[in-house]
Amino acid sequence: MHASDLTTSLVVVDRSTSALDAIRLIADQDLIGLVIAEDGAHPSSVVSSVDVLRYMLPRYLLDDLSLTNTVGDVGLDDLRQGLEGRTIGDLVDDSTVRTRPVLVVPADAGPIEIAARMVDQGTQVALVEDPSRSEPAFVTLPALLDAIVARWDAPGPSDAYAPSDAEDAS
Amino acid sequence: MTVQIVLAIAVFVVAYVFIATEKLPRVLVALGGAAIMVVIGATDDAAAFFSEETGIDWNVVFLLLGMMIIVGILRQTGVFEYLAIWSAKAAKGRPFRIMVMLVVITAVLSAFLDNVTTILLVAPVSLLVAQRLGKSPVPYLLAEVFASNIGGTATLIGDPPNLIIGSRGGIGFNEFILQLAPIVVVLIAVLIGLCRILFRSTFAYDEERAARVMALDEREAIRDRGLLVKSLVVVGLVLVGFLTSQLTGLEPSIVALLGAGLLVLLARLEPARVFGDVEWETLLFFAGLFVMVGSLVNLGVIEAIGQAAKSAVGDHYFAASGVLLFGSALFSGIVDNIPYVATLAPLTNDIVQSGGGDARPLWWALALGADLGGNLTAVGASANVVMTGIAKRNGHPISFWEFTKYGAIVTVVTVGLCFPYLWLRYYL
Repeated sequence: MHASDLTTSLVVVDRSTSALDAIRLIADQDLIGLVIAEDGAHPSSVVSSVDVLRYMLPRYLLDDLSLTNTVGDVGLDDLRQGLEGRTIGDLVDDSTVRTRPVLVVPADAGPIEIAARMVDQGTQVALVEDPSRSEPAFVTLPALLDAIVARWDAPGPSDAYAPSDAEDAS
Repeated sequence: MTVQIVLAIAVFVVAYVFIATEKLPRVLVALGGAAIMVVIGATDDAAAFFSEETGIDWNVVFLLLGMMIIVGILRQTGVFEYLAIWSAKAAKGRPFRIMVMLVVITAVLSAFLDNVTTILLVAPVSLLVAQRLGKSPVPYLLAEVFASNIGGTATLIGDPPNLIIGSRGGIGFNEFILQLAPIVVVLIAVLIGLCRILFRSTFAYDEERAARVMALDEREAIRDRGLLVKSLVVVGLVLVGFLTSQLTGLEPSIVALLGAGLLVLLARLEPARVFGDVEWETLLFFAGLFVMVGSLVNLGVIEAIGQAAKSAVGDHYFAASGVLLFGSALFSGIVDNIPYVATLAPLTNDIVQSGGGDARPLWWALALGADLGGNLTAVGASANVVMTGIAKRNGHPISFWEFTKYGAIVTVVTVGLCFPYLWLRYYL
């Protein structure tokens, strides 16, 4: 099993994408994060959905959690109002939002390699480097775990160590 | 003058420059300076730890510690947010009335809490209310920080310089209130008038916006009603303890520690929540500062300067009050007022001791100048720095000069009013 077998396509946003559209995208597609093409062409960074949420919320509510219950449903309108006119470029430039460089893995990388690289870089999305594809393809953390669990559940020979007949005889 | 004295003065001046310029963390400078004082023999363990005159002022340190614990627990109840939202709703969403309510609440809270804590509590609510009003939060934040620095002047526990003055001058909680609260009430009223003029373009009323403010539900801010009741009972007891400290003979520091201990017992919270708001760095900063100033007292430097000051003042205490008031305001507007007052307090004490009752108003001049001067610039008080930081993080940066433009007006007017107050009350 290789990275090229686990790929999925993700919408890539750029700096001019409106913050409201990006949030709708996360909601509609149940995304764990956004892939951003900062130069407008190639995926260059990833921001997690939690960080998008952090950007969505006014800082004063994060500073004082006691206030979060007082705002009621009008607070939801405040959120939308606060995001009007803002773009992904503003989000990337915000010092409180952590964006990470996009993780690139070779097309023949195995699940363990992809998992280790994701942990090492603290990201849940990897771009698969595959010159044969015209569109960028990604491995997401859920897809990776699906593949790992499917392997555990599949019937068939295991790679687990078993003593050979010769070892038993000795 | 011996080499030791020259070295001690040099250490003190260099440390002061580092604290004023904030080139290094102030706690490191104070503790480093104190360590060098020990190394050069300017002080020792007995003088630093066990002498009221030349050592760490434990009354100040433990009063601060006790209040930090109490406020740290109380703020977890959400009562301050409740109060601020309630006040905005009581103003019916009218922008100027909201500002008046927030100014008054900030001033009252500041009289009993430290100013930074007050701003940390009030600023988020102000940002929320301003957003609902569709207004810039900057005028509200500025008005609150000015109110905080003015309100903190009213009591012994309202501003750290007052703690130092109270301890060095042997001034109790009640005397502080009796001498300073009247002028503080006047100054808050004047501040409200100034705000009406300075921020007049921001008070247009919008019914729809007002309705959004009225939609806030302050009751939801209260997170733990049981803890709130316990905390309010303890705060009430502590205030009674402060007010009766002369009768009971209990120092305010002991009252605060007993209150903190009782609240810790009643609250039954995990240690991280009990002590999370204690600013250990501030307490250590105080300790280091007291050792440094105490070293100069130990070597006779402060006494020598005090003698010179006494000769210069003679019996012209009103003039001296004026110099102390305006000089302290100017100085505190530029650098941290805590080391300033820590240095000036033993000097003032010398003059007051020899001058008797006529010289006692010098303490009030020092407190008014040092506390109110904090409004002069964006770096004049810790609360200003915290407020501008909050404003910036929320997308409303306030430049040094924008702050100073308003702060200078407020400082000139408020400090200017203190001068006739001193004259009318003590020298007429």
